[in-house]
Amino acid sequence: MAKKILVVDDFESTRFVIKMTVKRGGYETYEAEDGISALRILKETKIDLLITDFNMPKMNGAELITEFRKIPDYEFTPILILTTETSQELKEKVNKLGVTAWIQKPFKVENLLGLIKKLLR
Amino acid sequence: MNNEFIEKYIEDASELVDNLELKLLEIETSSNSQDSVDEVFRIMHTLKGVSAMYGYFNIEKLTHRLETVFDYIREDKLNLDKEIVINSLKSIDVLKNLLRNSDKLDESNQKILNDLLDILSNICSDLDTSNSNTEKNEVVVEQNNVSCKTFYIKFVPESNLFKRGINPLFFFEDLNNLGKCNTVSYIQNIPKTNNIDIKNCYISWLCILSTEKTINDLEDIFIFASDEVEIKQLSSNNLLKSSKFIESIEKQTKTNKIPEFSEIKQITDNINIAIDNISLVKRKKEKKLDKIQIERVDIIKVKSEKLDILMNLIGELVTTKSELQHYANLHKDKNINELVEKLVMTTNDISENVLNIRMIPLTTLQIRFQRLVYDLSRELNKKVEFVVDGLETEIDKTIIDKLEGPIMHLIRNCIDHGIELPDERLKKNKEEKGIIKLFAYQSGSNIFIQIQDDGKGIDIESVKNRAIEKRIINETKIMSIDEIYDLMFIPGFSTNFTISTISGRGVGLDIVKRVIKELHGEIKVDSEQNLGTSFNLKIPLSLSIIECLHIMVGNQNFLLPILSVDNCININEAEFYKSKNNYIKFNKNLIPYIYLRKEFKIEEKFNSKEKIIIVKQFGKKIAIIADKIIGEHHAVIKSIDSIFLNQNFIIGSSILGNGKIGLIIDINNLSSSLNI
Repeated sequence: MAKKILVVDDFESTRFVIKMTVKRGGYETYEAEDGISALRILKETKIDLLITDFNMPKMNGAELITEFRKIPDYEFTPILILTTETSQELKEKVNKLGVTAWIQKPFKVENLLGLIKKLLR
Repeated sequence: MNNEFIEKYIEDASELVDNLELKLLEIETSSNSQDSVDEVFRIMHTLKGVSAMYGYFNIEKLTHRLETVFDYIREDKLNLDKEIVINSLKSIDVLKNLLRNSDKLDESNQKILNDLLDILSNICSDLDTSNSNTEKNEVVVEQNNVSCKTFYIKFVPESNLFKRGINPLFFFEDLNNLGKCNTVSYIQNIPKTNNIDIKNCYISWLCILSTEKTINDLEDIFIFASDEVEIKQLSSNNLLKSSKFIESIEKQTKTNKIPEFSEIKQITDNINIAIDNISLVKRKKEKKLDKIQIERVDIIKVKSEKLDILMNLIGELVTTKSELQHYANLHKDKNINELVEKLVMTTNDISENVLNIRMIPLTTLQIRFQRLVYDLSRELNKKVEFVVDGLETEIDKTIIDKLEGPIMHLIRNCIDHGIELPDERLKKNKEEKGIIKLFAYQSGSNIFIQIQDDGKGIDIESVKNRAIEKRIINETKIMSIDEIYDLMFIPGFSTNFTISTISGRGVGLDIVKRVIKELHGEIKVDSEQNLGTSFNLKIPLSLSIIECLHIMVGNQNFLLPILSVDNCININEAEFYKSKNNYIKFNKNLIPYIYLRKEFKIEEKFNSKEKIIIVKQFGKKIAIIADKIIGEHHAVIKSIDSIFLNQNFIIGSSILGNGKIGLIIDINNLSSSLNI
C-alpha cells in the first residue's frame, strides 16, 4: 500500500510543488493549509510522514509538531520541516521537538524526493 | 550532460577506437601478438568504462563482450583465430558508427550490432559456463583497483533519537551496504530497570568501515543525526584486511568507553606501512594499465583553428620583423641593430616552434591505410602484405589531412590494378603474397612519399591506346614513357573498362594529381612490366613559412627556397656554353642555366656583376642567373592572385622587409616549363 504523506503549508504553491514531487515518488498525499486542519486529518487518517512548514499562521509549526508527537500513533513517525533558515539554534530547537529532518527553502525537487525516500523506507 | 564533456568523450573514445584498430591489424599481421592482445584488452576495458559513464550503453555492451573475448585470449583459454579478428574489426566499424550517431543506430545497423553481440557471446559461451568464476574474479579485481579507504565512525545519539522518528538500524544497514563494516555497541549508559524510559535511546556505536565511497557518502547516511556522529578517515588503505588491525581494535573496544579517533589512528599508523608495501606489489601489476594514461596526460590537445590563428599572427610578426630589420639596416644604428638581431632570433625560434607544433607524424594515417589494404585484399581475393617505413616522418597537419585521400587512392590502385591474383602470381614465379610498400622520408623542406607494389606494372601500350580511344592524344604522337604515364593523370582517363566499386570511388588519378598540386607537391610514376609500379610524391613540409634566398633582377624581387640552394658564385667564375642548350661549366660540371632577366622579360638596367645561384633539384643541378643576392628571407607565404593561375613556376609571394613583394619561384616547375 502506498505510504501516506501529509503536507502542511499555508502557501498553496508550495503545497502544490511538494504534492507533485511526492506523487512522483508514488506516495499518497494529503494536504492542509494550517496546523488545525492538519490535526483534523491526522485523526482521521494514519499517515507515515509529516511534511510541514515551520512558520504558519493560526497554529505554527512548533505547536503542530508538539501536538503531533502527543498522539500515540505518531510518537515515532518521521517529521520533515520546511525552513528558510538553518541556524544551530533552530536545529537544536526542532531537535528537541522531535523533528527528524529539515529542508531549506527553496529546495530542489530531487533533494526533497531523496529525503522523503530515506525517511519512508 | 554538458556538451563539452560529451565532445571530449567522443574525441577520446574515437582515439581509443583508432588505436584498437591499429592493434587488431597488428595482431592480424604479426605472429607474436601477446602485447597487442593485452593492449586490445586494456583499450576495451577503458572504453567500456567511459562509455557507461556517458550513457553510451550500446558501446558499453559491445566493448564489454569484446573485452571478455580478449580476456580469454589473454589467458590462453581461447585461440585468436581469423573469425575473432574479422568480427572485432566489424565491431570497430559499429563502434565508430555509434560514436558518430550518439550511440543510436538505424534498423539495419542495429541488426549488425545485435548479430555481432550474438557472435561474440557464442565465441565465449563454452568458456562462460566452464569458467563462471572468471567474471566474478574480474569484479574483485575492479574493486581492488579503486582504493578502499577505512573510516572511523562514532555515533552517540541523543536519547530522543526514536522520538525524532529515526530508526538507527537503517544507518547500519546502509553502512553495511557500502563496504565491510565492523560495529561495536556500547550499552553501559542504559540505566537500571526502574529508571528506564523505553522510548529513549541509550546505546552508542563505534564502526570501522572500509569502503570505496567518500566521506560525503557516509555523512549522507547520517543526514538526520549529523550532529551526533563523528566520521573521520583512518587510512587510505583497507585496514580491515589486516588481521593484526582487527585484533588491536578488538582489544581497544573491550573497554566501556568508545575509543577516540586519535587512539584508533595510533594503531593504524604502524599497519599502514605494512599495507603500503603490499599495495606497492599490486600496483606494479597494474602499472601497464596506468602507463597508457600517463602518456596521455603529457599531451595537450588544441583545436587546429587555434593553431591557425597563431600561425597567422606569427606570419604578421615575421613580416614586421623583416620590416624592422630593413629599417635598422638603413639607419645603421648600432643599438637598434643589436635589438633587431635579438628580435630576429626570437622570432625565428617562435615561428619554427609553431611550425613544429603543427607537425604530426604520418602514423596517424597508418591505421586507415592498413585497414584499407586488409579489407580490399579480402574483397578482391588477393593476398597482400602491407609494409611501411618512415611513417614517423612529421608533416603539417593541414597537408596530412589533404594527403589522406590521394594516398588511399594510390594504395587502392596498387591493390586493384597492380597486385595480381595469387594463381597468376604463382605462374609468374612470384610469391603468392603481393607486397605494397609505403615509404616516407624527409629531405630538405620536402617530404617524399612512395607507394609501391610488386604487381604487374603499367602496360604502356594499353595506356596509350586508351588515351587515343578517349581522344586525349593523337594516334601519331610520339611520346616518352614519362609522358605516357602522365596521361593517366588527365581527367576522364581510366584504363579499367568497367569501373569497379573499388577504384572508382569518385577519386581518380586526376584528382590525386590536383590535390598534390594544391599542396605545391609533385607526383611521379615509375613502373616496370611485371615488376611493379611506384608512385612517388614530393610534398613541401609546411605551407606557411619557408626560408628563402632573396635575389633581385632589375627591380624585381625573387625568392628561392633556401634548402634547394647549393652554391652562389660570381658570373665570371663560370664558363658559358651557348651551343644547342644553354649550359655553364662550373667545377668541371655542365649545368643548364635559367636567365631570369630573359625569362621574366625584365628590361631594367643591366648589372654587369651578375650572380649565379646553383640549385639542386631531384639530384639535378640548375643555375639561376640574377643581378643581386640580397640575403636570407623568412618568407611567410601569401597566395597569389588568380591572374597567376595559368603558370606553375611561381608558387606564392611574400612581403619583404622593405614592404615590397617577392615572388617565390618553384625551380622544378620553372625548369620543366623551359624544357631543361
